[in-house]
Parts: sequence; C-alpha cells; structure tokens
Amino acid sequence: MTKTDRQLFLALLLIGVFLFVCSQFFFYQPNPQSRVVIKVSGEIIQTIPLQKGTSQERFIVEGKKGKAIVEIKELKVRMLEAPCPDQICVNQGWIDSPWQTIVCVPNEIVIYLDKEAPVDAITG
Amino acid sequence: MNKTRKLVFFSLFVTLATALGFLETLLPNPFPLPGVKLGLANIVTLLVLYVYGFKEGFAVALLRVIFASLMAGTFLSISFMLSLSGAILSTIMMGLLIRTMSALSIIGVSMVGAVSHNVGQLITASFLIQTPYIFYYLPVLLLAGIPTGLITGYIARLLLCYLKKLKTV
Repeated sequence: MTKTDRQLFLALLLIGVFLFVCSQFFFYQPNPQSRVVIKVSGEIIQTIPLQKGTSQERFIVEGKKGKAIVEIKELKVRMLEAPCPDQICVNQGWIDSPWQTIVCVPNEIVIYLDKEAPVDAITG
Repeated sequence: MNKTRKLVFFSLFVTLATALGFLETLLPNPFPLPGVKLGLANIVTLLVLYVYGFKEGFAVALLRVIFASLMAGTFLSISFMLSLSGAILSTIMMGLLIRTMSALSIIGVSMVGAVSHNVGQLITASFLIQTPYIFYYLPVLLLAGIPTGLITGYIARLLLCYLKKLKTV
C-alpha cells in the first residue's frame, strides 16, 4: 500500500461517513403519519396508510416473478415472503421511517414509506 | 507477444472471471447487505488491466457479465443490467486511474473499482426502478466498497507477482 493508497482510503472513508451522516440527518425522521407505497415495475399499485395500534395485516402483491406477501404491523412494514431466489428483501426485515426502501430486484417490487398528505384535514 | 498465446491466456482469463463470478453467487454472502458482495471477478479484470491494458480489461469485464448471466439464466434481466453497469463503470474508472495516476498501487485502484461498481449499480437501479429513494442507500454501498476493494486488491497484488514471474503471459 503506497502513501497515495492510504490517502485515497481515508478520502473514500471520509466521503462515505459524511454522506452517511448527511443521509441519516436528512432522511431519517420517524413520522407517526406515514403510508406504505408499493410499486411493481415502476408503477404504484397500492398505498396503505400506517397508524399506531393497527394490528398485523398481510397483503399479497403480484410481482413479475410471482406472489409476494407484504406484512404491516403498527408503523412498520416488511416483506414476509417473496418468490425471488436471493431473499434479500425478506432478510432486510422491518422498515419504519420515511425514505427507507425495500427493493426486490428479481420480482421488480419496491416498497417504501412516504409521508402522508393530511387527507382528513381537507376532507374534514 | 505471440498472438495465439495471447488468445489462449485471454480466454483463460475470461473463463476464470466467469467462474469466479458464478462461484460467488453460490457461496453464502459474507456481507449481510443487499447489493454488497466481495467481487471476486473483479480480481481478474484488474489483473488483465495491468497485464494487457484497458481494451482487454474492458472486454473481459463485458464478456464475464454476459457469460455469468447466461449461466444463471438472468440475461437481459434487471440484475444483469445492474452488474453490467457496475462492471462498465468500475473498469473505466480503474483503467483511467492506471493510466493517469502511477502513484496509486493496485490496491488503491481496486478500492476505486469496488466503490464505482457499487455506485454504477445504484445509478442504474434508480433509473430502472424509478425511485430517488434508492440514493438513501448510496453511503452504505460506498462504505461497503472500501473493504471489499481492499481484499480483492490484496489478492490481485499477490497474483500479479506470480504472473510477472512467469513471464509467459
């Protein structure tokens, strides 16, 4: 490892840590009023509002490869079952804050949390 | 260098890269993060870049992605696009660094290769899946590329020694 290597290593590390801190700072904000957005092949197919005290619910989502099961509990969501070979989306577990995303590449399903527009305030 | 000899060694390198890439999909991932892997195939790309040059390195990277996807049955699927874009970006970055920054050793080049591979994948993923939210994941992939790049860089340096000693390549 030359001196330039070490400098490069430190530079990359600093950029990484800086971006990580920034992303946590900008994106991470636990929000009591959020909703789950489920996209298949880039199109939104379902949005589900999340509320405190909601009991466990399961949804079947038809992906490109087959049926996947999405589970919602209180303010968090996870991929319970998926037909993909690597099961990365299932192993990711629960997500609970806006901007967090579960992506299942083989099945082309994206699940993310979004801040909900205050519909109740408008509709009364 | 003898033309036939080069052809044979080039084919061996392509085969090796394909096999390593495929082997990696069979092994359990040592990094429990989506999109992060060791990048064993990158060792071969790196060696070819050093032993032959940019053109050959690029060809190896391209061919091994195509062959690996044909073997895994994912040709032209999204995961194929992801590995292709990662391989292209990382090979271009590594080739540029080898040509312009001689102060950098093979380990530094490998680190940049691993990081740019991850970043290239993420850029394509954000286009294909169409959520900017995916960039939330950028720092994680960037940081993960550093240790994987270091490991593959060290392995490549060891192998490069032997290849140079052989003088047959």
